[in-house]
Amino acid sequence: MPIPLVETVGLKKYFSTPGGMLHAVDDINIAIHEGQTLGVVGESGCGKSTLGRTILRLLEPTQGKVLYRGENIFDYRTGRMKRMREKMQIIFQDPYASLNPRMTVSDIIAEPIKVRKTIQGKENINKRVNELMEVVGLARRFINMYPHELDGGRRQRIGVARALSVNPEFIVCDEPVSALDVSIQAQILNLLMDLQRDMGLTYMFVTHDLSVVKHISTDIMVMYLGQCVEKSPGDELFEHPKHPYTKALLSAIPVPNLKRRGAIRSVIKGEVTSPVEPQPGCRFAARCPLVKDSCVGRDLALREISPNHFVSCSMYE
Amino acid sequence: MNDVSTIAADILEESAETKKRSQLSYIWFRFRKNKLAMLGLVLLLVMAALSFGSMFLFRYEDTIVMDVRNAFLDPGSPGHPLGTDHYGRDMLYRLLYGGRLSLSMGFAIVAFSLLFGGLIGAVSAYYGGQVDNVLMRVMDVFLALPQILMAMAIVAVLGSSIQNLMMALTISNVPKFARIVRSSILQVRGLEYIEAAKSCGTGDGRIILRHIVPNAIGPIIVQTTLQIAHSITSIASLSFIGLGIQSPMAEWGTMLSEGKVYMRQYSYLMFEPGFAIMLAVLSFNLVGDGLRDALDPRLKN
Amino acid sequence: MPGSDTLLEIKDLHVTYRTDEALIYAVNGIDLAVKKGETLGLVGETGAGKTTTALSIMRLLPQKIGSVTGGDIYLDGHDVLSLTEGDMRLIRGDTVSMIFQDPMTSLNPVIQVGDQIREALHLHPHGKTGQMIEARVDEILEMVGIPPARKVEYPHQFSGGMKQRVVIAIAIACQPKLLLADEPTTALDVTIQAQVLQMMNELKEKLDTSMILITHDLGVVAEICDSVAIMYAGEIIESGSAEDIYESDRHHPYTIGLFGSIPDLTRKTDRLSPIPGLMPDPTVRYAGCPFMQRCPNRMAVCAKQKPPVFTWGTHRIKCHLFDGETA
Repeated sequence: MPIPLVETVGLKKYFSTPGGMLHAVDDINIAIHEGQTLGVVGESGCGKSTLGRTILRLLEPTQGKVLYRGENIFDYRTGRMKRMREKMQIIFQDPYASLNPRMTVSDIIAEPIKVRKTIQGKENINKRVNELMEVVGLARRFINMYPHELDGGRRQRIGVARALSVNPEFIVCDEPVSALDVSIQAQILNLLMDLQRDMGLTYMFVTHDLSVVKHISTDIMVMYLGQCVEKSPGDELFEHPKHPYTKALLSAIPVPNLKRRGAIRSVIKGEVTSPVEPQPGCRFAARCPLVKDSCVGRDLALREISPNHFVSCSMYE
Repeated sequence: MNDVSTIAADILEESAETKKRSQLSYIWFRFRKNKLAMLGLVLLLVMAALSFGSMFLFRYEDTIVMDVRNAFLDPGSPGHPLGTDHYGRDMLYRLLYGGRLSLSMGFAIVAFSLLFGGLIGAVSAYYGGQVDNVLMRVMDVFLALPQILMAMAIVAVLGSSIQNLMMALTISNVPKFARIVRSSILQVRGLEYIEAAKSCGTGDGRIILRHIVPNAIGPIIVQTTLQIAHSITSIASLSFIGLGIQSPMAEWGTMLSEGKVYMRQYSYLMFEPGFAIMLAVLSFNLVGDGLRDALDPRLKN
Repeated sequence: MPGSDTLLEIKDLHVTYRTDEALIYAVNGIDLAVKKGETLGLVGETGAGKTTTALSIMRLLPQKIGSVTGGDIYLDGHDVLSLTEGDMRLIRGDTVSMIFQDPMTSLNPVIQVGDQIREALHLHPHGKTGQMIEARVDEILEMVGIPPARKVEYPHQFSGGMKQRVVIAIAIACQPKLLLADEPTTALDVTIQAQVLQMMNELKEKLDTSMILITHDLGVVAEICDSVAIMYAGEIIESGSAEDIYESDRHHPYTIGLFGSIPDLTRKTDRLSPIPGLMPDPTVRYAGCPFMQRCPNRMAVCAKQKPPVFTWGTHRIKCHLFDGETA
């Protein structure tokens, strides 16, 4: 088994707030192999975006390692880290805020190339920009336009082109389709899947939308308040969800099918508890319909209950 | 390679490249469409042209030499299109000279306050933390001092001259610019495209020049034009109460003050400089508002 | 006037927006009807004209920019478009009420939540005393699942889902006959959305309010709507009961495209089948069908003539494909 392209070991990211330590990412261990996609799913506040940014070292971790081809990137000094950035890129959620409004489409896509000096000469850079625009499906006539002249779907394509411009191997997709209309979402998802197949890319796909992540992921990890509660191969998660939160998440999704109407669903009560100074134990306990005494008071480990299927829940101990 | 569903339908159409329009031409295009803003700009240019262009038409002495025999000539009299004042001095020459004073002083004051205030604001925004705290609290102290009182104090101690007047007004403007530069930079710094730039390893210098400055500069430019208008009013006010430019120099506020005695019989002595002040302030304000709308297209719809 | 159980009827509505740069044709001739106690799902993507339609019913179009250029709106016997502003104010909040999309910005951050509900009641007192109004505030908070003790708190002390419940509470305070909900759950997490939808379903039963639910989410529509109208480029291209839309074999090509774009949890598919291209330019008036350019079934007539509406009972489809097929 070759070593994973990206691996995290005991990764933690805490923020200090006036109320105490905010545990945004708490002890995450993942491994993503080359050419595969890890879907990271969770609702707001679960820490998935923070996880993505920490893996790219856009945030410094509180503890833990991120191994890229076996080497811990947090050991790298500035110069080496900058070269590393060519291999690891990010596509943002907001197609409005992630593009500099004062730069043209061409400037935006060319910027990483110019910064990293991967291609020299205006002619060559322009050629590459044109290539990239074609790959992501942007018509050439947009090349000198400004972001505010284009719609969300096209802007997101610019974001994709920008991420691809320095030939990365690994891309963190941070909710790349959440802000888009349904039919455009589907276009962008297909684009990302095609690019992965043609260019051998590895993705970490962060989203709150389980239905989106199903199509694109090899493995899926469900996060709740900074912790991983379940991790398994993609289809397995949908066919045999184990953790009560995963089950609730799946059943909460409104399905475009009339036969589901009125069916008894486990609607989770209550609100997400605070990630500041959490108590040891399962963080979902306060809202879990199956909560027991053994769920709180001590940290629960992730157990492998079937090949590659991990769950952190007292029911499976 | 990519099938139809990944390619937007329009890529299959003929795709001619649009010409690259620079940001500036965009802004100018939007500014042009705003009629009031254009009016302001025209007024401004006319005033500047008249005030500075007339440098060669008369000398400073012409504005202060007294000729009492010709005192109180009405506007429209031969040789004196705007009349003469109580000392027989030509009003038109005095107004034009006053324009030169107001416009150049206004620019100078704002330029200096932008320089110092901007530096303080930028340092504050960049370093944050305690540095930010201390600097901003110092700025707050200066903001709390009423402009007129501060000017009076400086003038009382150092004497009234153009330089001292400008220094007083610059000091009171610095905190405003510090605040606005700081908040502009802070707003932009947190945006995702800055994070995007960092994610490909862009250095701080390039981030500041290429990403932060072009986006933060909008509100700063607007504030600059509005502050010029404000400075012109301040200069006139201070001169009016005797703290600024002294007689016989022809400053609009000074002229107002001299004319107030004759308000009833010769109202034009007040009306003319008053109108000049109003026109100058109005045109800067119109231009400033027009710039604000032109610089951020998203504001409108 | 149609049957006595019709609460809202819109006929041939046309709405345009006039900006500095262009004239935008937002709504181009729609017909809509909502019965008492019925929930209509108004479905479409960004720019279809759904919010514009709702704002027109409330007469809340942005003043200098938006205007109704044709058609009629009848609400509970009133001819909405010809009422004075004064009369309209009596109706807003009382007969018809609206929930906007973003709960974060719908609430005034410096006013207590209880006061914001009370304000709605004070505007339409209908002879209630102060005490009765107070009791009603408590009653409504309980109905939306918020403990009445929290009425002295400020919006920032509530989470997103709770804020939206407060917004709903304000909207139903005066027991309006019609509730317009503009993407009420889009900004919420999916588990919170499930809670809020469940609550809205319960309220529907209890209060017998009619509702127009604007959304792009066909799943949400299936959960809660009795009838559906699908909008595209300012026109209603398909409408009918929920059964018509979800279970019939006949559909407008856009509807098929919408369903195909949704990732389906139950089927294993490798690729999604999205609709290629984008919505047409709203500043252009199309002689034929606005969906033509993206339609896989387009024919020559689609470019020249607006399709007529074909009807099968409650199911109506506006498409040339069904020419010669009606029941």
